[in-house]
Amino acid sequence: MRKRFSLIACALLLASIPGRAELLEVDLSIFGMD
Amino acid sequence: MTCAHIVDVALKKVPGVEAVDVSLNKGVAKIKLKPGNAVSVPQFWQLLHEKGYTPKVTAVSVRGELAGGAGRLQLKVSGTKDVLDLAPDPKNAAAYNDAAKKIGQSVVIQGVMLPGKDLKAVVPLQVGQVQ
Repeated sequence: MRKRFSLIACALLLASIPGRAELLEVDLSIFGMD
Repeated sequence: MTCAHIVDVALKKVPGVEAVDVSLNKGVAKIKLKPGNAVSVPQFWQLLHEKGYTPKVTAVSVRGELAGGAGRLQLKVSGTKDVLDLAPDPKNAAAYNDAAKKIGQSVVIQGVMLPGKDLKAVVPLQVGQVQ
């Protein structure tokens, strides 16, 4: 049971972080902020 | 509570974020990240959207290993299977060609990502500079 839960948790984690690389810095332009 | 403060607080809560500097005049949030972070740009876009703002063009500095094949150029994180598709910057195609010559090397790429309609989707990184 515990092993199955670990597998599901691992699959969810992998699915939630697609296409990631190590970011160093981000300059994010935002519309609608005043 | 100002809009800048709301954005500042929300971004600082993201694990891996080291510092945030929000400029109201420029409409830009500068985010510095901790080494070894697991943050993705779409993660920031979704967060801003949830707070009621619209993310626009995003300048990114990212470290990884260049990989290529089948006419594609990608940046992958050492020791993982994570990859980021790279695309030429229309204003500076030379930088993409420069990156293509460095396949297999560990580099830092400065470029631009444009959010699509689906903010969760991973979009290509337009290569502006390779170090």
